Amino acid sequence: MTGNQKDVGKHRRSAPFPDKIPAQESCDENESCSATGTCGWGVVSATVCGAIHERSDAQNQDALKWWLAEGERPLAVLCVADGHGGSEYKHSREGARRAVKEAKKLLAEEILPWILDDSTGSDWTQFDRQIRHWVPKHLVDRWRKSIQEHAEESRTSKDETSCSDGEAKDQPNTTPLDSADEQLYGTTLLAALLAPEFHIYIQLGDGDVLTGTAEGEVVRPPFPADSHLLANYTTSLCLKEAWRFVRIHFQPIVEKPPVFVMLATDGYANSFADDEDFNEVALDLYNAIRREGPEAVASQLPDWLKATSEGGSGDDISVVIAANMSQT
Amino acid sequence: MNQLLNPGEKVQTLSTEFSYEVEAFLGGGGQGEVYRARPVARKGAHTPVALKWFFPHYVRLDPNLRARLEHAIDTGPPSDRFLWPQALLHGGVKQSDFGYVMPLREERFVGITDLVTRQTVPTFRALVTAGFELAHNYLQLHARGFCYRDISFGNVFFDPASGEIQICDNDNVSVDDGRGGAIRGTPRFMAPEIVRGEVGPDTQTDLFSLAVLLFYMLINHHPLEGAKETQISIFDPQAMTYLYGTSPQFIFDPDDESNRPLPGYHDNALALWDLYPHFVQDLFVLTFTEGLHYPEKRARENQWSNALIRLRDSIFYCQHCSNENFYSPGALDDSDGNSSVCWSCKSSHRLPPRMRIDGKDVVMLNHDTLLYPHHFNAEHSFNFEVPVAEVAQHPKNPRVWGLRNHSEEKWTSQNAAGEVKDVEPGKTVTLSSGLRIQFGSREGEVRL
Repeated sequence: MTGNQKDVGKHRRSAPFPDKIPAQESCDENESCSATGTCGWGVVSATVCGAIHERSDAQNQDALKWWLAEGERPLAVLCVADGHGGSEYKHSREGARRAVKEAKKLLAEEILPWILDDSTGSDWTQFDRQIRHWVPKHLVDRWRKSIQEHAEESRTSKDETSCSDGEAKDQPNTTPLDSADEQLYGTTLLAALLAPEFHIYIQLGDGDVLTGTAEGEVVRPPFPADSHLLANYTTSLCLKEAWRFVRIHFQPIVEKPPVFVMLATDGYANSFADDEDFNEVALDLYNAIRREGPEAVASQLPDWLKATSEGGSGDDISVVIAANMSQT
Repeated sequence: MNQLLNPGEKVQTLSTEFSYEVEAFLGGGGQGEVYRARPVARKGAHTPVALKWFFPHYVRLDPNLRARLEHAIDTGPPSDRFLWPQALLHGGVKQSDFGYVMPLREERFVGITDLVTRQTVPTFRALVTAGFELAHNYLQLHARGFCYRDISFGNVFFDPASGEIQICDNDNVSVDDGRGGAIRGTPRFMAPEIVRGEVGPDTQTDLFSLAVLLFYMLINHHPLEGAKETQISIFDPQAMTYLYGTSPQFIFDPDDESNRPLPGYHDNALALWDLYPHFVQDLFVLTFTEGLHYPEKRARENQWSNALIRLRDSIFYCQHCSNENFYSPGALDDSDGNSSVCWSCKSSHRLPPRMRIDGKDVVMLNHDTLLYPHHFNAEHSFNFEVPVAEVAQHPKNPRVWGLRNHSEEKWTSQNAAGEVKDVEPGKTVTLSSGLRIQFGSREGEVRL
């Protein structure tokens, strides 16, 4: 090990953060789930296989994850990902699952502690700059490492099945993935970190982030325009130097926190004629959560989404919405 | 998404109580939000402006902000490339709330971030022109005793067609006294001594940030992000301090290869660095090796301006694929021949006519080359306003090229055979090898 590598090692954080704050998390096994936090946020999520995929017996290639802190401080992390369709992206379901897992880990276990232990000194201007410059590379790097692990596991299990020679089994195949291998895992990613002082919105590729104001307006974070997102083309985690395409919006909260934040894969918005109709759906969802409670909405949401896909885009749909339940 | 002002809301200037009406939210960050606004009921003043309004938390964090802005408004912009604050504004419920108006950026300008995300792919000529404009205009700012504090690709815009720039976010500009406002810079653009917490921003740290920005523009990569960054996996301030503060290492340090770019991670750096002639590489090496530790060693604005104009003058087009290449003095004579092929199609270079001025700088005479007072008159350095010469094709014989005199002065030419001719304004002299042209105080010698 060189001297430089030793220095790098000093900066590794030892204990993972979530031990400090009790939190509720999404459940990977179910189509939908929900939680109501003591902080005032209610979270509802669902992911359903698209009508076209159902007809061809294909799997849902979307994934989602969320994390909601217990306690009085409203802290939440929301993530959705849309694995690309097509045979050239045959591991995109795994790519999407690993994208939301890594995004959640990065936001909840590394960035949140930085906020909570006051390393920022409440200097949000500087913090915003640090986030913008650090998160894209780390996010993409984590995902690449994670899919590398998956590729190695797949190779090992193939070797185990195909090889009866015990010696060969002991030699792990650690060949790094090339860009063609990474393409197999192609996926988009949307993520949000919600804290009382600010929200951070992250987007790579298509999909929708919607927020609602107390006045009933639906607005989207002003991400920088991305001319790569045209028709069915999207940027992706599997692109070479994908960090360049990660868009981040840092939104300080002054007096008007959004009443809801919704993240959805593009199969949802593409099922509607225009943005206005889609905005209405977001508002309806929020109102339903407020009226009936997160659990009741979560139990019906998969059916609503399936019907939407059937009558609309035919694509997989994943949505996660955090609603401020204490807003009057 | 906006938090501070709403469309239709009116705010007033502090001095004249002249009003602006907010039209639309344009964007925001950690300091405040920017809106498009329009003057209210003022005869002949309908031009929309940009209006920045600060977050209350930022106003508390930066108590000198208002005084700094007042000073900047009183002083006026260092050049027309700065979207400079024009008037302070107040409004809203709280007395402490305030903002300012500035010119609205034209739509033809795009962010340098668009280069990084490859949303715009300008010509090398436009890119190098933008680099020159940056160095030249930051010199104008520094010459007035200001430091910018926050040079980064987030606050510079350029016209991809021409390379003209606009510099925004000038509310952080302060008198160069090492103190100033709350902004310490943008991560990855901050000089190592700021990252280590030893000093605040000043002119010397601006020079570091300028070099990082130029490196991003030309190489599309960060000068310190090589093998070392791939060994760090945890997001925390310590890791950033390590890479950019306590152990910075230039990726092309000629004496230390430990932080070289890695294939697959840093392909832009690997592909682009070798395209540039040594006189550009040398300034980066100087700034990111000795200049990392000794701020006074960093390349200064004028060095960049000279090198970047020289670089622009060295552009020529590949005769096979038409892509721009740079003429690198000496490189074409290398015995290995590696540098003498087009970076794009790999065919051998065939140089166009070129002119060496006063035995030093070489200008490639392409079909579209324009020459300016900068080239012909030592007292007009960096004057690129009106061309005084252009390369022109003979109207009847397309194989014959000449240099047309667009100046108001007569030139004198002498060909290789010793034949002397006057070149009156509006006339053209035919380009031939060994041709010498006297332009006032300077002389050019042509090679074919």
